[in-house]
Amino acid sequence: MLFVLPDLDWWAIAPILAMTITACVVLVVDLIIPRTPHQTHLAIISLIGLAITAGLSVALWDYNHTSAFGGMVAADNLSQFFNVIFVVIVAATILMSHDQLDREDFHPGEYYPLLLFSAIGMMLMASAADLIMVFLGLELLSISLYILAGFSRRRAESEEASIKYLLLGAFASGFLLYGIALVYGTAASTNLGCVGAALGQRSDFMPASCPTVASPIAAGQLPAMLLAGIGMLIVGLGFKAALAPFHLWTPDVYEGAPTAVTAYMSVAAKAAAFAAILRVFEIAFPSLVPDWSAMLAIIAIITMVVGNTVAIMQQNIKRMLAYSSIAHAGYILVAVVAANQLGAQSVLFYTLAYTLMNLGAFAVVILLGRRGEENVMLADYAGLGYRQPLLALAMAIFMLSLAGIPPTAGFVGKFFIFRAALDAGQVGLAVVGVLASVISVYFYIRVIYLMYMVEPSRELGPAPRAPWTSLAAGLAAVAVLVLGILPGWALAWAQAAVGFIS
Amino acid sequence: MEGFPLLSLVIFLPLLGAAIALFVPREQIGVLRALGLLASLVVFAASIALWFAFDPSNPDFQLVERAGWLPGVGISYHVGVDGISLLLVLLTTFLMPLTFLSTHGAITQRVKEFVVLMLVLETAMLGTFLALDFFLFYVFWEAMLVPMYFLIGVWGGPRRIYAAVKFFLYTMTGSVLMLLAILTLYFLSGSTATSRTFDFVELLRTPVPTTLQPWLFAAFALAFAIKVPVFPFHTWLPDAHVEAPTAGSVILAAVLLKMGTYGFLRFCLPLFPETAVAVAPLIALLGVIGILYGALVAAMQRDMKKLVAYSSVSHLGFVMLGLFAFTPESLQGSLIQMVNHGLSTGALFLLVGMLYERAHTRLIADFSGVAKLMPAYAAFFLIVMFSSAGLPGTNGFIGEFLILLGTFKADLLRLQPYAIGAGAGVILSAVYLLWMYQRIFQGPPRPAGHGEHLVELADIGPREIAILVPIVVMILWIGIYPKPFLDRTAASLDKVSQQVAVAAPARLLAGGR
Repeated sequence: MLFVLPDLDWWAIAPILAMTITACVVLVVDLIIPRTPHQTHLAIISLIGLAITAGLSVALWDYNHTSAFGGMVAADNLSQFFNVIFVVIVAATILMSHDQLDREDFHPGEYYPLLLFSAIGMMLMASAADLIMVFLGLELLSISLYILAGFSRRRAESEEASIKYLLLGAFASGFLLYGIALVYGTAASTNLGCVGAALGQRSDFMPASCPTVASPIAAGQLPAMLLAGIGMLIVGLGFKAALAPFHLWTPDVYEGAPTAVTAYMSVAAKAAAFAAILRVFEIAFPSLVPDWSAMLAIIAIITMVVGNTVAIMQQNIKRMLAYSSIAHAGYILVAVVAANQLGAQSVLFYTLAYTLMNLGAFAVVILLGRRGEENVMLADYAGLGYRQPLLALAMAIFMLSLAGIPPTAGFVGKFFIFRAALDAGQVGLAVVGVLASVISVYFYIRVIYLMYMVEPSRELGPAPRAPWTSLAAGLAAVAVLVLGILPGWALAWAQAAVGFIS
Repeated sequence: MEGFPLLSLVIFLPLLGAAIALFVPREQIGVLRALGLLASLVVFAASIALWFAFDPSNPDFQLVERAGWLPGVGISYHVGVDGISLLLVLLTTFLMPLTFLSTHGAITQRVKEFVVLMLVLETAMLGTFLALDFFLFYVFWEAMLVPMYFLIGVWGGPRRIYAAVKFFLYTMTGSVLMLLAILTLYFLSGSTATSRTFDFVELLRTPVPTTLQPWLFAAFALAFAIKVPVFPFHTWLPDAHVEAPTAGSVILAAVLLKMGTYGFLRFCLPLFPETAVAVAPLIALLGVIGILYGALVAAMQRDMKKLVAYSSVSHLGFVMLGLFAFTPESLQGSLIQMVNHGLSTGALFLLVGMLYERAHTRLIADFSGVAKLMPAYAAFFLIVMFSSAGLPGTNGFIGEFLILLGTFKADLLRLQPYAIGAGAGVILSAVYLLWMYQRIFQGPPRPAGHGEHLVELADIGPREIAILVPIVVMILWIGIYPKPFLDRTAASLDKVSQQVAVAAPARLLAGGR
């Protein structure tokens, strides 16, 4: 038997390699250099590594090697776009965590590498050209997140969050794996390009060789096995993206996990899951659009309605933002359902917008925390507008953006999502979407009126110095406004990243 | 003036003022107030230039500015003025300085935030009137909500949060469906991504399939009907008005409600003429119900501000009736009546606010014989009240007369019965206004208030007179010599009237003129 060395294109995985090296360096440096309370040097090394990763991703724009490593990794613009989003997410999370590590009694030597390793998982998911790769990336991401969720060792809720997330997450991974097996059973391959070629017309993502199978679609049949497989892929990925009805873990885990980790999970896992969903469904199953978009349309409606209506009743801002993040996953899913280039472009733009506004909102939640108490009840926000005007202003911008009020990134994002939905003829979905966002306005502006129109019920104590977290919140607020007023460049990039979708 | 971006200057000057105000220390209340007044006066001066630069004979958009914004998506920064928007822009810029002047006694807390929000609101309002790109229009339209929400919620009365949230949710519900309708129009405008546009002027040339027209009309009409508000979508209005501070009420009544009627005139009529004609009897009926219902409910109010709020429902019923009679006269009447309502209701809110600042009560029963205690105030109140009741010699008469005349002339739609109903509304408005005047201003003079909270009333001072004189001048000017105003609106309104007439179904035209 002849062993053919696979095509080892190191450039294709350069950003992932840079991230991996950064994580290892941080691990080693922590052992060598004596500990300081904040371990600022670890944060700085991580940020430098992230900058290099982002630089490599930008340099690889238009590199377009879609089946590197024997058809395992795709280094196209879609990967690079998401790589940059992931770098933004991890960098912001590091900024938001740095001031609090001491207060929360975290150990930075493990915290930063775990964040970086989970980012590697996300990058693998976004660059996956094979279902196995999706699974590996997802597991790397998930296992890091299980640990991070339990990082507040002294709080029982944090441990509970970790265990809950692990048990349910393992179950979801099982679904994903089973789904992969069933797809393999139909298409005789786990490579996305090969599956696409076996099921329909898509051949642009095919690696050098694919097993030959008679196309079941061409034969006019749609095997139940394949549909079941697609359904299970939706369950597995939908769990990570927190789509209803696979969202039940979300509020408890988000509430229990340390706030910086919650912020990270709420954007990172979602972005990675949607990157994988776009890849899997647009490359492997473009010939089955009517089938999977019908499934996803129902899920999108349930997700938007459940997320927004249950968020109204929350008194804890972390739980409120948890349900709001479910709702936002629903909006993004609307764009996926559109299953056209406009939709994919909107997925990318909205993911970017959502990342900035949600991270910013959580940064404010962190800044309201004090040693020993998190201050996460909505009532704690009363009067914030006059105690800390800049902080409240930033929060108001994030809330308005999440609610989709112009001129913010959230508005532009929703605008493009509903444009894509109407383009695909999904009028009903668009109507449910806009009405759901009206519901959401209620709980977002509640935060605003608490901050500006209600007298504080109790004193929170002096605000601790948190320059890094404040920087993260400030940058996010500016970015949300800039993306809201001048979204042209980001839209152009998003469009270039999804050029392969017709 | 060719090529000079006058409209952008008018739109964004207030925003510049707001940006400067951000850097003034919050303790400098006097400086902040002066800055707000100065900024709004500069904007008013710029809009006066607009009045002279405007060519009355041209029915199309003038002083147009256009620049690419998101060219790949068909979104541009496109603004222009025509006879429909000109008067409303001037109304806005005219009232803003007066509103600022009126807040010296009422807004003493958080003056910095107040000045910033008012100026941001002015930019959003002017942008809404002048935008000719649907995306731009929607951005300004929604951006208006936020400052108004804060104005009601921060400086308002006891139930301000309830009123602010209700205002926000009501208007937002209407506008998101309009957003979907805007997107649908965008997809109708071309078959490929590059040929589609959000440009209003180009969308006017896009034929809308008759099957889609009713749906799109309904989505637009709901957004505008909530804003006007047309009966039965008016329930947010009394809450918002009663709880808002005087400045908020003035802007809300004078300008924000006009957004709704402006939207009908600007978008619904020219874009969906067939549907507009088909539903005209229904909307005219809702208008007449609004006129009578608003007037009857106003008559029963014990709170002056609520009375004025319900009188708005009644007055805007007239505007709606005039808009959906489609004749040039009725459209002119409606547009003039929009301005009139802005002047007279704005002034009434200012007057009620002045009394409230003195007595800290708005209950009609708490006052008696005010005419003897505050003679100057009573004189101004009388003139404004006559204007609101539509007495000849005041602006209200011109508007209501033109609307009724135009409605009677709308033979094709057979709206004469509606005009008779509306005529009854004129009488009712005299009833509730005169009755209020009688109870407050006549009778034996006594201190205002009830129980132990009695206040001796002092007449209005020079600052308050300075606020009221310009409004009274405008009321009498439009009432006695409306030609300059009618001239500038005629060409654009004739065009709308013709657009509707041309597209109207043949059965309606069969009657002929």
